[in-house]
Amino acid sequence: MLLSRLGPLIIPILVIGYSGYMIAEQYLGSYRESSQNYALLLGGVAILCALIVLARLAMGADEGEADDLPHEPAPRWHYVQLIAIVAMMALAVLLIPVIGYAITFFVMLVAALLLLGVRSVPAILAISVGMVAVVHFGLVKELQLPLPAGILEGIL
Amino acid sequence: MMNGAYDGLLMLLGVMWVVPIGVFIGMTFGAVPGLNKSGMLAILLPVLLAMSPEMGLVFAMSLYAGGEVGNAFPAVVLNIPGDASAAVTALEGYQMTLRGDGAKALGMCVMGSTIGAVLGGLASLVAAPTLGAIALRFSYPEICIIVLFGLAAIAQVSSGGLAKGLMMGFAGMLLSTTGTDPMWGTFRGTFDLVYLFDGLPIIPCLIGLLGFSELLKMIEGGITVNRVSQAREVGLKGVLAGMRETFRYPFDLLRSSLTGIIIGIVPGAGGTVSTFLSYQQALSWASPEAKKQFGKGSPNGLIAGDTANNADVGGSIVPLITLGIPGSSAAAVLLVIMAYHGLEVGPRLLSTAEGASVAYAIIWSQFVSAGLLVVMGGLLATFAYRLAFLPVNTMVPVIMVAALIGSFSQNQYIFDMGVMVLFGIIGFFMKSYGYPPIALLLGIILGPMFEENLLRTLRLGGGTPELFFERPLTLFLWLLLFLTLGARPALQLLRNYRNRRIGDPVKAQQ
Repeated sequence: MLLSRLGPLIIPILVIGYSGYMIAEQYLGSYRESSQNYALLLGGVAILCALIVLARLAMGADEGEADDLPHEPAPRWHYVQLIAIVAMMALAVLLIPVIGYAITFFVMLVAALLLLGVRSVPAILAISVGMVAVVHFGLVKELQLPLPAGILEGIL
Repeated sequence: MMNGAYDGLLMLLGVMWVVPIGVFIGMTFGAVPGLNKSGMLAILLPVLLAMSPEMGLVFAMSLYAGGEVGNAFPAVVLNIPGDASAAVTALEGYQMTLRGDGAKALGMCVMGSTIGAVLGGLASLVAAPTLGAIALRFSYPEICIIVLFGLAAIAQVSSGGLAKGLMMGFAGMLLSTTGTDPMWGTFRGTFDLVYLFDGLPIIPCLIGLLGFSELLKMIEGGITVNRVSQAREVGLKGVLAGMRETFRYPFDLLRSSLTGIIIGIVPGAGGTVSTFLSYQQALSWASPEAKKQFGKGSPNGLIAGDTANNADVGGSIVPLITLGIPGSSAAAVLLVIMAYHGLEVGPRLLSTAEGASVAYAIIWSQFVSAGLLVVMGGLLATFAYRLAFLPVNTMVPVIMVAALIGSFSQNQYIFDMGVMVLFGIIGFFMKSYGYPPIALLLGIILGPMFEENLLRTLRLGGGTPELFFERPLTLFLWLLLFLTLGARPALQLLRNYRNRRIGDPVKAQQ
């Protein structure tokens, strides 16, 4: 599977990319107007270690302990659930300012419960409504947490 | 001064009824991810100011103490720390939950916190003036080296290999430079986003790397089975077993308490530094067999973190009452209360009758809080652990909402929720391919303090690091650092050499 072959490379490549960006930003963007040598030290060591990790991966010698790493890929449905959950969270972050926390959390809870195999309608409604009620009365009203109400502004 | 202690005790007896309320509210608030102690005290500040000075201060201390225990509950049960100082608790405690020892882990957290609180209280009662004088000796180079202790743990906790650990640690420190350059004021790594001008938000990173990534791993692994269904001891029985087992680690308890007290007296260091430093010390001094357990549910690591962050409470009020300098952001709220009521904050506080009585009332209240931590903490822990037995497919959506709210709580930016999701994805890949999330977290959390103190020290030294090697306290701290990192391996090498010389190849290999 593509993920099992390319997966181990994601983190070192991210580290190299980010470190390179931070070093370049300070040397090119704010030379002598920032602590660029500090970024060079940190980023340089991070890049060096990332290259060592990539080299070891290329040679087939992983430093990780055997029981730390996955041995068999999970069923495809689990990855579908995983991607859907991440997409739900991302969508929730985008929609909360627009439609408000109450509707967003309610819809997200119902969708996530259905996706994860809960089929009892009373349970789904109880959990979704209950959680939104706890957030509204416990956090927004009592603790004055300013979650955006969105289209329910003025009502909530 | 003894008169002040006796008057303080009498003063406490008059307002003792607020202590159980404060401990309970503190634990409840502390269990909400994203709401740290100083945030909780700030929210309740109008209530605290409306009370009499002794009542308000005793109530605030109880909230502070309760919050340091409450942050362990979601960390152990859900792998979502209540705040940054519970990151170690999440790392070790949640692993214990997965193998069925969650109730025991909670019991150890509660008892470790209680012992730390008692020893911290003793230190502030007996040695406040001495500790206050020591606090004055700490400056930028000393704080920088103290933070190095915590950062040294990056190499020690590298479960995936040293290169991976160092890579993530240094990447974390580089991430921590996001925001404003402390010396020059220029923006670094902000991608022109105003939400990053104040730096990378720590709580969302914490929740994402530890909590949300764990949810994703659970979904990947299949969530039809409750992962804690094989719990060995449940309910109050399990919690009490954990409390009893804590006493099997006396050296960890004493060392962690001392670490928490010393770090607590250093203004600006905070409970997070004492937690990680204590964890690093526990890792350094653990036997080779015990060292393998770190990151996989080590009782030593769990006790180290929780004991230190409660001992830190006692330490942090020492500079407050002796010098008028708060040792932590929560202690700063206590300073506000004292100033509001016209108490003579500073070195003269203990020389006035009223000031001395109030100061000692605060100190004595720690012992009452400690007693209540055991009782209330044990009962609340029993209740909290029951959450772990709920069906996982109903818990996951609830935790998703809790994670979003926890990320929002710190700065109240929707952007921080996105940061949490991003770090959750990064944490998922890290856990899947053997990269240690704790190394990244150490870098993110301790990086800002290290950089700030490093740059200030270099500035004071005219661009040279001479100040790191000129002051007696810095030399002592360097010696301590090398001892803690190198003493055990050196002893092991010496033992192996001696065994080889006497011709015992089996022992020489151990």
